[in-house]
Amino acid sequence: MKVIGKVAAVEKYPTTIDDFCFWTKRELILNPFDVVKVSHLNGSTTFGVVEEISHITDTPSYLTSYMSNDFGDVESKSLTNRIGLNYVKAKVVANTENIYNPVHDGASVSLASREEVMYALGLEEVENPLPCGYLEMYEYEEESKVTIPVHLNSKFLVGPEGAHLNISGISGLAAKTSYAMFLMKAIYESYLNSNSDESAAFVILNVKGRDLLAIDEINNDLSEKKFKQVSSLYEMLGISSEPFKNVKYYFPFSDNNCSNTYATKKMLKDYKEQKKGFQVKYTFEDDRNLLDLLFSNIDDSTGTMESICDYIQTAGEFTELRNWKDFINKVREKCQTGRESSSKEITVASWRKFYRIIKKPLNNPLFSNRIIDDNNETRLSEAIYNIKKNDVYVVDISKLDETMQGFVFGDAIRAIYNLKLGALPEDTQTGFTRDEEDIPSRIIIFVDELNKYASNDTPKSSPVLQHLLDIAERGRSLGIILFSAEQFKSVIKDRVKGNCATHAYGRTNAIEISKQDYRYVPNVYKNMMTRLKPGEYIIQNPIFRSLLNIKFPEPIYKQFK
Amino acid sequence: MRRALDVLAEKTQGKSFKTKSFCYEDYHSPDSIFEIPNYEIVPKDFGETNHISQPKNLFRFAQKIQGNPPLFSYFLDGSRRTYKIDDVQYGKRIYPIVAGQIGIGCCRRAKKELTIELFEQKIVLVLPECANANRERYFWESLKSAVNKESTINSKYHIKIDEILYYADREQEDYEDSAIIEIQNKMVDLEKKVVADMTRQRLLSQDKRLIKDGSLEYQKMKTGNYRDISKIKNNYRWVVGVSKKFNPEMCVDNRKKSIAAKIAELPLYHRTPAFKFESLRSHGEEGAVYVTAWYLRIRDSKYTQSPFDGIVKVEKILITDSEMSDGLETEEVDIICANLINERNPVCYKIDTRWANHLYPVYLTESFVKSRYLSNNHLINAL
Repeated sequence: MKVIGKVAAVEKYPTTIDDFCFWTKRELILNPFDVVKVSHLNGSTTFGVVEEISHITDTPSYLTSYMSNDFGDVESKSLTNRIGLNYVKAKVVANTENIYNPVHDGASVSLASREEVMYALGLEEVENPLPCGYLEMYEYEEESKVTIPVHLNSKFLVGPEGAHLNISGISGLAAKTSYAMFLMKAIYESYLNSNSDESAAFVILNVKGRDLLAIDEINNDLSEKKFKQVSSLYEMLGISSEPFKNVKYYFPFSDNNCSNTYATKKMLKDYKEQKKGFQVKYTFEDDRNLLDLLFSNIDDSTGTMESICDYIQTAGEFTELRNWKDFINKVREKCQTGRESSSKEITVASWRKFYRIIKKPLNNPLFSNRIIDDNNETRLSEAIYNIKKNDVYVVDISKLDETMQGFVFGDAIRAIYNLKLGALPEDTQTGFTRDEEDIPSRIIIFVDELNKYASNDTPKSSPVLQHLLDIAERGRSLGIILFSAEQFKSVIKDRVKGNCATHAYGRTNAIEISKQDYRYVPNVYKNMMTRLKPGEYIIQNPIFRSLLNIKFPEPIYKQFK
Repeated sequence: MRRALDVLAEKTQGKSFKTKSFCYEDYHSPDSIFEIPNYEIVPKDFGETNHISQPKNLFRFAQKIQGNPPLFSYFLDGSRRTYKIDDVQYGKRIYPIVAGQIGIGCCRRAKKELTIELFEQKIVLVLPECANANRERYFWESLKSAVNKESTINSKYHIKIDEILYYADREQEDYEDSAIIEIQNKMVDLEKKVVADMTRQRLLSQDKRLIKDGSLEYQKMKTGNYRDISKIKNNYRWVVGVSKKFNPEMCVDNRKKSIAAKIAELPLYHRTPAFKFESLRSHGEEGAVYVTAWYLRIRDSKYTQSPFDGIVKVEKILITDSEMSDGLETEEVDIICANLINERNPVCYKIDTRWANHLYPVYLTESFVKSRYLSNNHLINAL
């Protein structure tokens, strides 16, 4: 391969076991993350990943530069360029003979071939390969340009070796949802086409507009040429260019006064007719046990709200009620002064606080008196208890307010948790029983804006947070995999992000990268994070020897603009 | 195997004193012993066709031609580094043995970037002439072979002595200076060889000229392939010598009157009239060698430390009969000056103390040549 420079071990910057510097001509275009190779001892080859590229000339000071332009004449021209070069700092990632002595001064540095890049980055012979994107190297060197599909070991993404994915990046520019969908598509197809007993199902929370409300439809907005381009990328990655199948959409129930979804009425009607659209309702009889989820963002340090929720579950005066209206009236009664409390621990003030918090959400049509099956209405938990292998559930919470979003999300993860633990409620109308072998071995739940549920500011008592912590810490063995995304990773609870085996960084803002979470990332990569284009990610996974800068193709499913 | 100095002492039947070795340039300037004596330069007449009496401003002309391809495409610099490596007793006297590294580099400029065109490097030893006790004909050549073959210098240190020179054994002479002069002469000979090679390869032409660092006032030498400049002066048709340093005492006009004050007061981008000189020390078999010389200020004196900083001395050997009789065409002098003015940037301020008088491509050539030297310690240790 083409020799591009030579190693320079100088007094101030010696080569080390970990890194080395080499010089190149100033015209040579390299990028951070490019792989280079250096001939080393015993005929071995050391591989390095480019971390920093600097340009120097023999100008010792700005003053010299000023003087070299006729003492500040901006029009000044010179007949000779200053002697200058680029020097590149590379991190050692591999040696063919496991020799990690520092590389020697004067050793030739070359670009690497496709096979060598794969060896260097640990991308060869990945077990249980799952495409997570592709990398492009030496983009500006037409002859040497390398495009390589990047595969993860799926056992490090969806368990049991490692699990959970966290994606961070600026809204709108990082394409977080698209990347999560791309990965889920890859997982979906790998399980769909595999002969193993392992299986997967997906629960996806749609949090923005109609983003994910047509993931089973092809994207007709792509021009023919663009479609071919995207398809060829999918083909290279071993993924079909078809949208998801077996998709069911769950919309929060709306009435004429209050719409809980951005889906149009026609869309709802069509989806219902196609038996893929359902409306979610919560009834008092079956769902009063979920009331605690309305308190996810309420600081309940004394546990009074929790006590009230418990009381409502067990006290006869509440269990005998049939609907939300009566329930609200009952709570209102509890708020009357001078009324003797049935539970001495719960004060009137606490009931009033409880009432204040639940009053608004419970007025939402989502909380109904009964479920009409013929109208494709369902309880979300019931739907989840029935989830089958290769099912993709999209739960639309985009138009709900924050409290309600937390409520629905909490319901979803609680249901998944119960399903995987085999703790299906017995007191439901249908009385669920599931054959264990019929339950998907992996349920992947994707939620955007994780910061709403697991940020450092989330109250410790939040039931949603507790569920998320449980999933983060135990989900790997239970087969509940959390794919999460947020703008600012730094605000997410350590216990949640720390348990994610795979991290993907999209375009990130400069303030965010100055936070502690990014301390281990080399400066150049940090700065790159602020410039990443949509469709470009820096990913970290235990099987990769270093961070990788990957790209992924545009979504193939229908996009609502 | 023995060390090179032991082989030298044995083969020349001298007694080595194992003196501490050192590099001369660490202690004094390489130019200090080469000031040209005043009496060797004979002013003749005006050195250009138009006889001007006042400094001439060339800034506008320089600006006008700035977009044109530069006149100078090649830059030549020779340098040497000398070492006292031992004292050896021959008879009743003790003589120094001096080693030298000589490097000659010529860089070519294309599209504003320099690349190496030619490079010559030699490692030489200088002994007193009396080391050849029996005046053997091929003594120095066989001594060189013996040192390379029988000592550790080549086998262990992979260094090869290219030539063994000798200095005259004369009364009241500083032997060390004599030895260094031999190395200097060798360097000059190699410089001339590079120019001859370039001429032979037809690299130089009217629009691809060469700037040679330093004076063109070559001394006629007793040895060397290019010892007589009068015979090879045609090689210098497209060569201009630019000296950073000159002796103000020798700045005289055609009437032999000092123009030092006028030079010191030269306004920015002005040149002095060109004067023709006959260099007595260059006088060879083909007769006198005439050189036309003038001074040009390329840096404003308000930014420099001494009045002569920022002024370069420009020399051109007169080749044709008309040049020798009437001097160089004034237009030619102006073109050379305007191009030199346009070479003023970039500057090597803070990299080289002579920045005000240095031309950047010449500085780079010099840096390249010096970068190819063996380290002082390595060479001294190998000997």
